[in-house]
This record gives sequence, structure tokens and C-alpha cells, in this order.
Amino acid sequence: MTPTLDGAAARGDTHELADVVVVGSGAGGAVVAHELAGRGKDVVLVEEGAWRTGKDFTGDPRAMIDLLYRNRGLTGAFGRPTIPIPLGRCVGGTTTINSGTCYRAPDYVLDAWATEHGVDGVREPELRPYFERVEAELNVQPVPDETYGRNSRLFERGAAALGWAGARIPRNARGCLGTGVCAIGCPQDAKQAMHVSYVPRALERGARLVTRCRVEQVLCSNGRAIGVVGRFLDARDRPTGHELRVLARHVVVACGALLTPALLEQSAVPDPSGLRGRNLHIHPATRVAALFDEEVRGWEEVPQAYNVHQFTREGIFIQGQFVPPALEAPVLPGVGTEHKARMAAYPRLGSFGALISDESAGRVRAGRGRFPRVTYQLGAADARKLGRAIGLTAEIFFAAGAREVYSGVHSRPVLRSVAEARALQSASLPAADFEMMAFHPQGTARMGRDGKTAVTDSAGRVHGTPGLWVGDASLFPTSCKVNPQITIMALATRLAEHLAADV
Amino acid sequence: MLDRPLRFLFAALAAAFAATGLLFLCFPDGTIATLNAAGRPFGLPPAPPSALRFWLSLAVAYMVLVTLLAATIARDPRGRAHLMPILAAGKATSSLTCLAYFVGSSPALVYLANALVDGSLALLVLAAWGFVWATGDAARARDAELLRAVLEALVPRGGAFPTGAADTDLDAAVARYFAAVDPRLGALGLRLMLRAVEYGAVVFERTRPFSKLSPEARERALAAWEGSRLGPRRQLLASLKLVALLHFYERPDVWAAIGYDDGHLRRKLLAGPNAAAHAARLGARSS
Repeated sequence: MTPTLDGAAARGDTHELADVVVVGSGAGGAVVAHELAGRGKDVVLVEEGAWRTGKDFTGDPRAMIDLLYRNRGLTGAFGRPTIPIPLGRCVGGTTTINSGTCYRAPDYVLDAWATEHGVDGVREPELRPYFERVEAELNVQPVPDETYGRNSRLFERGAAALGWAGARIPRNARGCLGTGVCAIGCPQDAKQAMHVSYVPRALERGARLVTRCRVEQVLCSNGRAIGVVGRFLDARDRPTGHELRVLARHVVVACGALLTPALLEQSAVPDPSGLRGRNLHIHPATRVAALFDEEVRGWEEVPQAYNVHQFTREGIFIQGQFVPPALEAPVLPGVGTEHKARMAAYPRLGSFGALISDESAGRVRAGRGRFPRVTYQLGAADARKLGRAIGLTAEIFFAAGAREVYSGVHSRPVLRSVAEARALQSASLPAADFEMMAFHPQGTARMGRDGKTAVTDSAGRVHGTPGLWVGDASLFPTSCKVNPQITIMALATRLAEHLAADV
Repeated sequence: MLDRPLRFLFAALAAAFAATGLLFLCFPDGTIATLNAAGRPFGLPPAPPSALRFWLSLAVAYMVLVTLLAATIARDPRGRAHLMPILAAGKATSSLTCLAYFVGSSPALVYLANALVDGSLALLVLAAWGFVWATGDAARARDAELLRAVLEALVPRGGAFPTGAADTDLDAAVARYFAAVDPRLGALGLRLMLRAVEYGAVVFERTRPFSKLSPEARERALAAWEGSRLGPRRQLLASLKLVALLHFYERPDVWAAIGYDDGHLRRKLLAGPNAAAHAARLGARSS
């Protein structure tokens, strides 16, 4: 096999042998492949999506969502309400379509993983070398002045006026021009998503990559994982009729917290803890917009450049989230002439996202179709927390000089005063009252040393199935309370170290 | 599409109804006795005997009617789909009255069996009717009218800027999107949503159907969907609004009206390491 095989071009069944086969090329899988290849292991990395680069990324929202997002962006969790959870489906996974925000999981989260969930080797001093290694690979730096624009500056001014702590966001970028379309693929390849960083470097080190191949089964023999079987997909995403079969000494499943447990379930991998697919955590979020008297022109900057971390301990983080007009319009309140008037003020809009780390938990099960059955019900405490997060975001906007705030809360869509913003901070609203999305699914194959209370061990080995590993955010025992990609990569680096020792 | 199975279904129903009618006419007591015997092992009492044949003549007349209805539909299921709800109404009435007798009079197997069989047939006929409706040309034309009405209320002409949905091909773009999301179910989903908006105005707002309202009243009706306390109602409007506005505001001819320009994006595309690829694409698009 050549270093890269595009499944759409495969003219027959393909059989491969390897030391390790890695399923999924996102934040977990790409790093595992890179680290193992660097240690001289023979690695095959399999990805369902195609390999696109900045040359293919046009900044056109709908075309890019069709190109890079799973199910055209129509993935989510069923509940009241149903919550969209967008995922990437391309080489690089969701790192290709995220905003590039790079935070380490806070110390207190890592301590809780160690003490309350029995995870070995994840305290901050133990993980620090892995964090540092990943951050060096990806050139993680705070957003510089040149790409730090009016939307972020206004919000920073508001937070400072209230005395609330915040800072420029550290991002994985090299040569960022502030094109402003990170979440639909960086046209400059400046964002150091996996498809321009770890994946090409893994190939340079000898790994092989198979794209457009949907892995449908983990093969097991005598209770041990021995490989995977997948179907090649054509350019229109239909099975070509040809299959990939990789036999390997170790299998790493890194498809993300929604797809990993589903793949294990449909492969009939034993689940001694009974926890696989449970404990799904997400970061529910509502985009809050604000109308200013002055021009903001938020599309001329890095969209996610400033973060308020005053409230991180209580599970609230507020981050820049400016989007093109086609994506902003659907969430602005109103219809008809009222809505047109709001859109006519688009250059004077600021926009930030209010995110929470949840206490509620959902569940993932293998579905009948290509996407798993995901159920999640946001609990009352989390709904209160989200209302508080939105209210805090609104208060910052007012402190920055906003005239009105579009809250994303159905029962009070337009806030016109600080008093209304503060009332929202303490309101008890039903979950269905929020215009909500969620990001960062995690926790569905939690790690821990005890096979009765965890799906994998502390390194990522699946309890009860030798040779099988999980290498993505499924491992997190609880919500990591920040954007998870750097933590996933650090854990993946550590996993590769353990796995290399096992091979 | 699938008309042959429909024809076969109604022909089979006609044959079954005719056979059942004949059975009742020729062996009225034998049929009841057989069902009574079948119910005995389950502890069900026999149906009360009746020497009066007046009810039998009515039953046979009913069987003749449903046989002719089914046979008529079988010849042209699409053209005669309007007869399907009539047939379903007959079967549903037969089912529900037997259910009532089973519960309120005597728990005889004959009542229960008829309630279950005719109830299932009523649902089957209604499903066939729904299928014909969902795949018919008339409904497609109506979909297009309703879609235009909804889009023109979401993005009317005038107001803050002149361009509205009516000045664009937004209706075609939205219809294409739904079809692309799921080739089999996308158009049906859109159809159901549009019908919900059309008759939701009657149900929730107690006005005329949406398409019969004035433009201002249509906007108010959609605003009521958006502000509804019923989550599914809000989500339906949110879905339509998402797809419609996603397509409307991606149009470069709308951007100037809202003060947005893609000059920044273009400058950056042409300044970075992939400038040549982007220049070629932008050049091809402008030419």
C-alpha cells in the first residue's frame, strides 16, 4: 500500500498487516499514529472522511459544512430539546473545524480524575510534559494583536469594567492571517489542526493513511482485538463494495465520544463495567449576540480570541464566537421585517458563546443507521447554569456598551438592560427554553484502574479485551471544563508511550 | 411509484371482503359458532345468539359496499384515493363499535376479533392514503405554493432592505437542501412541516389556514410559532428558519444590504500560502 490510500480510488479489497491500526484521525488518533510511527512502529491510520486542505476551504459556510461536517452538521442528541452536536468528518476530525482554542484541563479536574475516579498518572505534574510536548508541536500561543479584533476587544473592555478575569485565548496557529472562518476550515492551513500537523508528520515517519473508509467492526479472536474491517466510500459517500481489512497487534479506537462506544458495541466487544456509552458529557452552549452603536465588523478577526475564565470553576466559560451572516441569521430572534432589521445591523453586532460544563449525563448506543443513537437530557441544575452563563455574557456586553442583547432564550429573546441580564442569571428556566448547541462530547468510555467502574484502564486499554485501546475524549471520567483538544492530545501522547511498550 | 403493490393490496382487500360477506350470508350461525368455540379455551363467553336476520342483511350490505369500494380503488389507487378515507371510516366504525360491545356488553371473541381485524384494516387503508398523498403530484404543487408563502413571510420584500425571498430562487434552494439531506425522507419532512404551518394557524391561532392570511398576518403567525411555549412547535419553525436563512444570507447580492462584504475574506484568501489555488477558484467563479 502507498503511504496514503483514498478509499474512493480503491479498485478492490485491501488487506494490510500492521503493528497498530488507529481508527479516526482527530485529536486522539492522529497523535497516537504520530507518536507510534516516531517510535518505529508500523501504523495504519484509518479515517472515514476525505483529506482536504486549505486549498479546498473557501470560507463559504454551507459548502464547507457539507464538505467537512458529519451528516451536513445535522448530528446531535435526542432529548427535550434535541441538541445539535456538530462533528468533523475529514482527516483531522473535529480539529479541522474547531476554533483552535487550546486549554489544558484544569489542575482540579485532573486531581478529581485521580482521586475520585481512580485514574493513575493524570495529575498535573504527571501530564505536564505531555501538554508541553503537544503545545510545542502545535505552536500554541495567545492570539496576537494583528488578528485580535473589535468583537474581542469590546468584550474584554466589558469584562474588565466588571472586574472579571479573562484573557486572550491560546491557539494552535502558525501564520494566522485572521481570515475569520476557523470553524469551516482554515483556508491558509494556519490553524494547526491534525490534517496539517500530526497527520502529515506521522506519514513522514512511516505511518500509512487510509481515507474514505468507514470502519464497521473491530475484529476479535479469543477475546483479543486483532484488527478492523471497514468499507471504502466513494466521493458521494456510498460504499464502493470494496473493503479494508487490517490485521494488527493492537487496535486504537479514536472516533470521538459519540462514535467510539458505538463501534465497540456493534463489534460485540465485551463491556464488563456496563458503562460503555454511558456518562456522555457535553458542553451545552448558546450564542449570545449584542447590538452596539459602533461598528464591530466581527468577521475581520479571529472569531474565538478572548475567554472569560472568572467562572470556570463553576463550569461556565464565555468565549468569542463570531460567525458569517448565513450562520448568524438563523439564531437572531424574530421573523419577517423585524428579523431583517436586525440583520441590517450585522456590522454592529458582537457575538460570544456562553458554554457550560454539564453535570447531566447522556448515553450513546449503536443505532441502526450510520450514526449512533445519542440521548441526552439537560437537567434542571445545568439549565440554571446555562441561564446564568447567558446572563453573565449579556451583562458583559452591556458593560461594553451594547444597546440590546439577543439571548438565545425563547421566553426572553431580547434583553434591554443590565437588570434583565441579572434576572436571567438567577432564573430557573426549562432546558427547552434555550436555543442550544453543544460541543466537546466526552466520557463514554471512561478510564480508571478498576474494571468495575471504568471501561478502560488509566492508559486507555479496554478492560477485558487485550489489544484494544480507546484514544479520544471518551476516556474523560468527567467533563474537562474547557475545550478538550489539548487534553485529548496529551492523553493520546501518553497512550502511545504505553502502547509502544506493549508492542 | 409502488402503484402495483397498491393495486394488489386493494384487490386483495376486495376479494377478502367479498369472501367474508358470502361466508356471513351462507353460514351466519356457523361462523359465529366457530368463533365462539375458538374463544372458549381462553375463558371468553360465547356471543349472544340471535334469530333475527335483519342485522345480517345490513352486515351483508356493508360488506358489499366495502367490497365495491376496495375494488374501485384497486383499479386506480391514485385517481381514487379520495375513497380511501371513506373505506377507512367504515372499517374504523366497525372496529370501534365491536370494541365497545366487547368492553361494555359481553367479552366475546367475535367482538374482539372484529375490533382488531377491522381496526388494523382501517390503519392499513389510512397508511395507503397517506402514502398516495405523500408521493402525489398535487401535493408537490401545493408544497411549492406553501413553501413560497412561508419563505416570503420569513424574508418579506421591503423593510430594512428591499430584497426578499420572492426576489430570489430561495424556494428551489430550500427544496433542494431537504432533498439532499435525505433523498427518500427529506421532501416528505418538508411537506409535513409546511402542512403543520398551514393548518397550525387554524389550530393554534384560530385563524384561517396560513396560505389564506395577509402577508402581515403570516408574519405574525410565524412569530407565534417562534414564541410558542410548545417546544416541538418552536423547533419546527427553527428548522425552517435555519435552512431558509442559511441559504438567503449566503447570497452575495444580499450582503451589501446588511453591510457585510467579503472583501476581508478575499484579501486574506489571496494573501496566504494557498493564494494560487484560491485565486484560480475565485477567477473561475467571477468569469
